[in-house]
Amino acid sequence: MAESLEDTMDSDFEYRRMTIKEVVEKIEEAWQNEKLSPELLPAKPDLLECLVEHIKSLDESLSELSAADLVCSILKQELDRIKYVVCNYLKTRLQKIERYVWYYCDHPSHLSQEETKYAKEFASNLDTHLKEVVLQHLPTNFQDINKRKATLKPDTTRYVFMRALERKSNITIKVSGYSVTLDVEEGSQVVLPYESVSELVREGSAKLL
Amino acid sequence: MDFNEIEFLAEKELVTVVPNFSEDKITLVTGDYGPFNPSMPTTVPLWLAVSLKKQQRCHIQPPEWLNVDMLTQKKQDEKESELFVEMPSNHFIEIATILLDNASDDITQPDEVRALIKDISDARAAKLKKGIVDMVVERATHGKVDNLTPMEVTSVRSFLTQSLDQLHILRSHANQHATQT
Repeated sequence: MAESLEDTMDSDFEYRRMTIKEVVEKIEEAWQNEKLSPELLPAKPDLLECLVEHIKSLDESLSELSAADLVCSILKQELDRIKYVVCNYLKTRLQKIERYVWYYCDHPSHLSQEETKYAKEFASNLDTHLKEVVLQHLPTNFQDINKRKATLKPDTTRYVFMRALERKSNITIKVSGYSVTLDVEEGSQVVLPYESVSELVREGSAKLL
Repeated sequence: MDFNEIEFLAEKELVTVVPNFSEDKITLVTGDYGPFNPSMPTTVPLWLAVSLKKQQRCHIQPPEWLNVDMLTQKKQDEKESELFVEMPSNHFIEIATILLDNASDDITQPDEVRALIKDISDARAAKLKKGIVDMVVERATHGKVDNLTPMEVTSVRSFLTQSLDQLHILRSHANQHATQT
């Protein structure tokens, strides 16, 4: 029993040893990368849940203090900053899900459970909307949507700015038929197609700028 | 990421303040700050420093690079170098602007400092423009932008990345056409 628990908790394990400060830092990093990457990055449901719980408990304890108190107002300001990052992070992810909804319904591996549910509902609402507003008024043979053709995919060939967080060699860049390799030192910054560094961004050895 | 979000990140940088009130150590999520005692310098994030300054509860000690001497040197270095010079802070423009706007009375020769910051950022922007032209002319697959600050990246991000995207779409069509004929 204990073993199977450990297995399922594998991704949890890391954050259980983190301080809340490190959790905030991780979410802030994830927020910055998410804002700048063309595709959806892997969800961080455990970290988010941990942080949201913390925010809730802080919110409760702060509501008991007087707002005129200096320390209380400072704590509130910091909490507002953290809330801003969390909200903006989630909103950025939802925008991508809505934009590429059919694609992410088929490829839900980077979505959290809630996001998968949201994507499915959004897709079915979109279907109903398209049917009611346009399709049902068309002749029967025009009423199908060819989803394979209509599906928007995130474009991972787009150019991005990245900063290497550690030394990496042999980054392959493929553009319009050419292919070159690139070595980067820690702290180097390069503008290049996202797909050449998507793996590095996901594993945390590069961040987007 | 837009300019406001980059400024938000810059507000996390630490600065030294000299408080005029007493308060025990404050435990925040992102760190412990204080204790605060009158005339005893202590380190806090920029957002907190500005908030205390607005309530007239502290003076802000400008970072050691935010003065005429250091910035004049940096401006000189920037003009002499072909590449981007490393700046004393990755957020030097934002920190300088925030401090000049909110605590100019704590900065010696604020007008000169403001002018120098503008000169440095103009010199760097000119290099960046030249770099972009070179990248397009040389049909580069990628470009090195070491020491470019997040704010500077943001000033050209959408323009540069979208132009490169379009150029490479055009080129791959041209290649396809060449192989077909």
